[in-house]
Amino acid sequence: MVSGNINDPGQVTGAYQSGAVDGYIRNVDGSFTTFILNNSPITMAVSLNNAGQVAGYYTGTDFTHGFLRDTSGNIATFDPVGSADTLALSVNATGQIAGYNYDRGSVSHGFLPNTDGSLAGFEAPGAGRSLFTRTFALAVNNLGQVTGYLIQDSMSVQSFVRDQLGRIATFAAPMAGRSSTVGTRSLAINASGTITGFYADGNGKVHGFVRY
Amino acid sequence: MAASPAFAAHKLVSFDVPGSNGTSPLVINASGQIAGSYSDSTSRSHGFLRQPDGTITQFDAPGNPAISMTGINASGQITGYYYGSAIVVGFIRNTDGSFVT
Repeated sequence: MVSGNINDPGQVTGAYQSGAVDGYIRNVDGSFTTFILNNSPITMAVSLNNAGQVAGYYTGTDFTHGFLRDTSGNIATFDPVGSADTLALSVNATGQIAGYNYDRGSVSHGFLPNTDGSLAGFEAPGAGRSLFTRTFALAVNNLGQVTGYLIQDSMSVQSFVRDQLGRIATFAAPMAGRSSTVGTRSLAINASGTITGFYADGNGKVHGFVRY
Repeated sequence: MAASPAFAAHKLVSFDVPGSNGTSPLVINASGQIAGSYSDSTSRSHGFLRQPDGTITQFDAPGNPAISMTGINASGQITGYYYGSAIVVGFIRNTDGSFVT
């Protein structure tokens, strides 16, 4: 059993294996609500907001798709246009979901679906255009700010933050080693826009950072 | 137009868990508490909680297994998982340091 994140009331989402991998919500009283999408062998529930909406992804007969489960148990699935695999990783209070998808060429792109269901795909400036490079959006806060990292064609890794207006700034820890393939990787952002993640120095040692 | 918080002047602070070989923050809550994992000199992973003032609490799941964090809420409850003897175990770490698995 893997736990995903926990919301302020204390609900936890995640996935567990019972033959197939199914999603779950652990309620505040300790009871579990489980769910599976389209008889998928893998339903990964990753993130839930304070209202109890859950975002994640599941494996279909062809590719991996994103989903949003509402508090009544209704599930909407989605994919950016041209997506081969869609990984929904973070949901905020308004139901916006951040994540990334691989296109048919295994190049990744960030996305942030709007609450009306339309998708806003984006690329971080400087992101590569070759296999397994480009933009990896990992977290969205309640303002709609998104953070993650980008891999350049040189395999150098930097972080980015995308604001609610769609503007993207990239940054790297000043102490990060230039030749490191770890680089600077942002993983999470809170409601104030504070970002945390890690970087590797010139000797390859990994350090934490917080960006205020 | 005023700069959004994401683009306002910012500072980047580096930190390490004392005695660690590598520090990996993974999640942050609204008040700025950060949870993550770190590796010791034998490459075994442990958990940590960093307060907004920079103080760090190190912790382990029962039995001291390899551990990773996946969430932290406004109260400071942390979720994650660790590798049990044969299975992966999800957990909640309460603010008093107790674990629910």
